Amino acid sequence: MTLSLFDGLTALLLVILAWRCLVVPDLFRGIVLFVVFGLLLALTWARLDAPDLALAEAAIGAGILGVLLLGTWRALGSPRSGETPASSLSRWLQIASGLGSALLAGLVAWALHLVPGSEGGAGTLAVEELPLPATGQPVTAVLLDFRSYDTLLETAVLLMAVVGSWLARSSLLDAIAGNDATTDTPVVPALVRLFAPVLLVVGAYLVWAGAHSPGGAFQGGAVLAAAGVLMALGRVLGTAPNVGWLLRLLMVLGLLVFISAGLLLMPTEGSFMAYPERWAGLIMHLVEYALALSIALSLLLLFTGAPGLRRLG
Amino acid sequence: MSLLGALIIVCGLFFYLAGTVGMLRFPDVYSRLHAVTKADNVGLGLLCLGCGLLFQSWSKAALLLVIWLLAVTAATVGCHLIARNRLQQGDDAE
Repeated sequence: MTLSLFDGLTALLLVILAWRCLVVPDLFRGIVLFVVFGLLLALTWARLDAPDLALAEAAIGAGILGVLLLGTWRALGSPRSGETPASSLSRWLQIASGLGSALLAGLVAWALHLVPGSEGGAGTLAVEELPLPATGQPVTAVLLDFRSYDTLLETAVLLMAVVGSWLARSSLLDAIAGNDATTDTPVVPALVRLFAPVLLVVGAYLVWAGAHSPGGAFQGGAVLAAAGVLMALGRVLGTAPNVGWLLRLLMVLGLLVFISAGLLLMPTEGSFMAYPERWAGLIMHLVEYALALSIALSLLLLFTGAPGLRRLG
Repeated sequence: MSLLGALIIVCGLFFYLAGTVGMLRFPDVYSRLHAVTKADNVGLGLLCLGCGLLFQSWSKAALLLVIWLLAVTAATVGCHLIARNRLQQGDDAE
């Protein structure tokens, strides 16, 4: 009873937050609402017994995305509140598109209702077919085995996003640091010295834990990236105009390991990304660690907006 | 033991309520910051203490203690930065 009350309240709050996030006129408030929405969504995933998704949503959806949005807001030169341009759509067009979306949602719900559910759902089937049923964490195994092609492309998309931001060449961090009075207080470096090691350990733990409990390359990578963001804000890490060979290597390491593991075993296994049963666990670990490093660096570079990194102090 | 834990949690929730009311009702940024950081830190501490009592396990209690310490540190620094920013920008930017 109490729990269903809690769940109902959470669901209601989610809808209200999403609505406010879309209609609020002030950009800054919208970003803050979006972060709160992400945290609440993470709580919802945890309540739905999906701790992996909860971790990913909290680390990437609320954490890293919030930081990226706030950085962008800073670089935009923070227009005063209330200056956001009004929607260019006419009132009737808005109503028509709203009704169309509602109709589509209704049709999809009806169609999904008609689909016959299989015994125990797709999840049971997937877990039965996994190569390492007893030992491994099913979510990680599904991500790196069944969905390996999707995971590979997701990582490639992230890499392309970083390359795209390099092409755009607007160094967000420098724009922020140029007129920032908050970085010269001694409190921030003290906080960085205290928090960065903790974050690094938590991130590494999440990657390691992905093999047997909730966690994994994306969650761990996001926490590692958060440690990097903190160090960049605390002036421990600085931006460099050029990307060094080590950084390049680390950024493509995940894709490199993933693709070569898939390609090298093709002669014996017969198809791309088919792993022999004996080595599947080891290969997935290797791919997972390499992916985590690349994801962490890519997210961090998306934040700094500069191609290179260097140590400041 | 579980009764004591529940009682402490309720006390913690009261502090959260007080902090939230303070944030909504206090007139300026500094007193709002004061309300939120002070009351919420105490509230979170009591929540952690209560949960630790309910779990009845030393390792979970230690984890909760670490979480509380990290949250208190982060809240302190966040409060410092917001107050400092406001002081430097002046009070006109409402």
